[in-house]
Amino acid sequence: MRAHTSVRSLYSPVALVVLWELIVRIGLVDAAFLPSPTQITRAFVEIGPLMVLEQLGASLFRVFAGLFAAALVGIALGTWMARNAHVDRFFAPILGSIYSVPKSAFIPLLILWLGVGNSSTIVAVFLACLLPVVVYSFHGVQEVPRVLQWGAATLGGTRGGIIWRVYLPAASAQIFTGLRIALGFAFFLSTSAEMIASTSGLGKLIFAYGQGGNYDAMFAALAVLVAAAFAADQAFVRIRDRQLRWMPTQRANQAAA
Amino acid sequence: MIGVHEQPPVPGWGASAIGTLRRFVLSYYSLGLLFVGWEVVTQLEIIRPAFLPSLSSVLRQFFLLAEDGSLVQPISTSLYRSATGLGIAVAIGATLGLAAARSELARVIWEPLVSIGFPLPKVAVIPILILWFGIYDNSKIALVVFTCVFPVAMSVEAAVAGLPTVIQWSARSLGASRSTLLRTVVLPAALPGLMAGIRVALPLALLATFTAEMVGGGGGFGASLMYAQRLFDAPTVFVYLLLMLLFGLLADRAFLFVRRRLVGWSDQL
Amino acid sequence: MKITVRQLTRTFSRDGKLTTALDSVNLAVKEGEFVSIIGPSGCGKSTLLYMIAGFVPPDSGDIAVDGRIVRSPGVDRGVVFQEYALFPWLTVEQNILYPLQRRPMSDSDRRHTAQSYIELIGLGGFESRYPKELSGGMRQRVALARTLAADPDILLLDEPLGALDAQTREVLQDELLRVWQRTGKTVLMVTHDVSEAVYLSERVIVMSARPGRFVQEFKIELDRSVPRETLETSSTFTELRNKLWLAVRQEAIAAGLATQRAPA
Repeated sequence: MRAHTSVRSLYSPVALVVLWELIVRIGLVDAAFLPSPTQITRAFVEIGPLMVLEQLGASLFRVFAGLFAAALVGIALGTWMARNAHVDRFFAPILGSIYSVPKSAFIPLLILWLGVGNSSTIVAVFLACLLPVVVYSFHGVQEVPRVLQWGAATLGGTRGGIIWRVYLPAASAQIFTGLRIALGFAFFLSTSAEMIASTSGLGKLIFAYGQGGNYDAMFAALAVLVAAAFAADQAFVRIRDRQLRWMPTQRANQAAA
Repeated sequence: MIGVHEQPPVPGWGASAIGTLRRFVLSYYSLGLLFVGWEVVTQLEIIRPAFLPSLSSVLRQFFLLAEDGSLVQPISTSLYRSATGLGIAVAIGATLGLAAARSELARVIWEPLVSIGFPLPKVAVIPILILWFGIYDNSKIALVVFTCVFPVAMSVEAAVAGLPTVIQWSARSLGASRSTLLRTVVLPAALPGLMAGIRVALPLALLATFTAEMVGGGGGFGASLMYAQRLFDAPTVFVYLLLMLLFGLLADRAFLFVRRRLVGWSDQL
Repeated sequence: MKITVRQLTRTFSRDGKLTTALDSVNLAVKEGEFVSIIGPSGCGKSTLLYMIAGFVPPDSGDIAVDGRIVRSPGVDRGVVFQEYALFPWLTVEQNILYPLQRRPMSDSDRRHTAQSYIELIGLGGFESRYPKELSGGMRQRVALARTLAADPDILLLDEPLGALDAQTREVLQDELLRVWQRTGKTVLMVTHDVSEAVYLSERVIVMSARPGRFVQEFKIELDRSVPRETLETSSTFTELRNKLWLAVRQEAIAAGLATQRAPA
């Protein structure tokens, strides 16, 4: 194991970037197809980091607005469906149908209804994020052990209170998984919408530069997006781990078994 | 929860027709309500037909398009791209997953790629792929491969890494050499995991194809959908949406059928 | 001497702590003998078995079978695990055919041999079933048949009946006895069931836990031709069983796995 951690530190992103630079410098790859990191950085400075960050902000706003809305509605709906079989039977087919449609297909429809801009993108993100949140919330609440439910009931409290203080915490591991997947979807949908038709956002930037042939700038915008998506995912994982501190880890469970 | 991860139970040979019908109605009545409500709302012009064409007009448009054959090209193009991309992704992903599970070196190379590739919105690389491969089939196939490799590789890696040691030991004691072990034990045991990965990758393949076509053009379903939207042809837009829905459902059903044949022996089913 | 274990030592480190699973263990098993190893949980008895099987290498010391040092698994040492370890993607028949594939026989010969093993374990009619359709007892029978089909000289059994209910266990114990008596194979069994050890073995070795050492050995001389009802209720059996139980319990207490009740 010790030998491998040193291999791992060798193979760090830094080394990867250096390798990338070398490959292009040597001419192994045509710089027109894959610009080197230095070219990309130069392009980034040229087009104006502030402008790029502004666009990033626009994209992030859509991502989180849609995600937040989907989280609220999704967790509520998933919990309700898990506790009420009638509600489940009503919504399940509808959700199942939405599941089968590639969510980006809704974008043209939403543009038709809401025009190009923030609202259509946010609704698209909302629709895409809703499903994983509902499904995982549903499973999470449904899997709350009977014993826990009965215990909560005997300790008294309102139904709402029990849901808030027992069911949701118990289901939180699953809910977080659903949210993490939804985060990925959110970035995917907002970028898609921005690329298809939009006046702002990183997706639009990437697409526009691509169309215009300014490939160095295109890569620069893409790099910013990748960094943002990665950072968002990492931040999410840290928040999740903090919130789930009290949980016995899977490995501990397996050892006890 | 029915209809999301698993389709509603398929009735056995002995089920009565009435029972099946009843179960069907009970499971899907909300969809029925939705369709009825849709028709009513549009017929009464509560919502303008420019925004929401009536269900009947959508169906009419569907038959129109089906008859004059304008659906054939987009459908076959998109299906070809999805299927090819998925096939390549499975081949590459399964190999990568297997390697990552069996070789420490492979895993060290693989893990950073996954942690960056996973949260990356794959659609963002469409312009790059168009740059490299042009706007037609190859860039779409490339996107499908890029998108679908991850779930397949991750599932295979988990399956192979999770293979119980006692099974491998048993095989060795029964005379299996290292290479026989791979072929007769590791691969069959990893099959359910591979199927799980493909199940996730299947809708992703369709999604990647359609999105790439919507963003970059170059024919196919997505491009036709965008074209209809630009013409404000709401009925056609809806036709395409419903068709996409249909394909998603059919693909999943077909997959489940194949999966049952291949890994019916697994106790995960 | 069929199996010779010399000064075998094996340590494990978990969470930074070093545990000695086996400490200079010596063992000699004659051909055709039935030997059991018994001891408290975690005393390294399974580790010993796995090392003889060739799955786990020793830290020091060696193991020889028929005079040759053991370095890797082989068909001469068949293993039956507590978890059955059947191949879930193969039917009962295919599982049993697996070891037969490497033997130079015609296909029809293989099928006949597999069939005879299936009859031997009393699962005729279940050839095309998959493991997931079988009960625990049936799975263990298949595992046993599969190991026998490889025709090993030595049978290494790692708590083979531990996962089964009491009734099934008794039935399979009799089958095991019958198989041993018919084939004359050398059997080394690890178990935690004291009665089982006495019922089946000619020799029982008691191990201590952490570090794992052989502490006592019991010779079992029973007339196994009498019916089980007579045998298990006889005074000889009961005496042996009690002595063995006390020895194991001693080790369990020493290992901190059991506590002695203070006299009231």
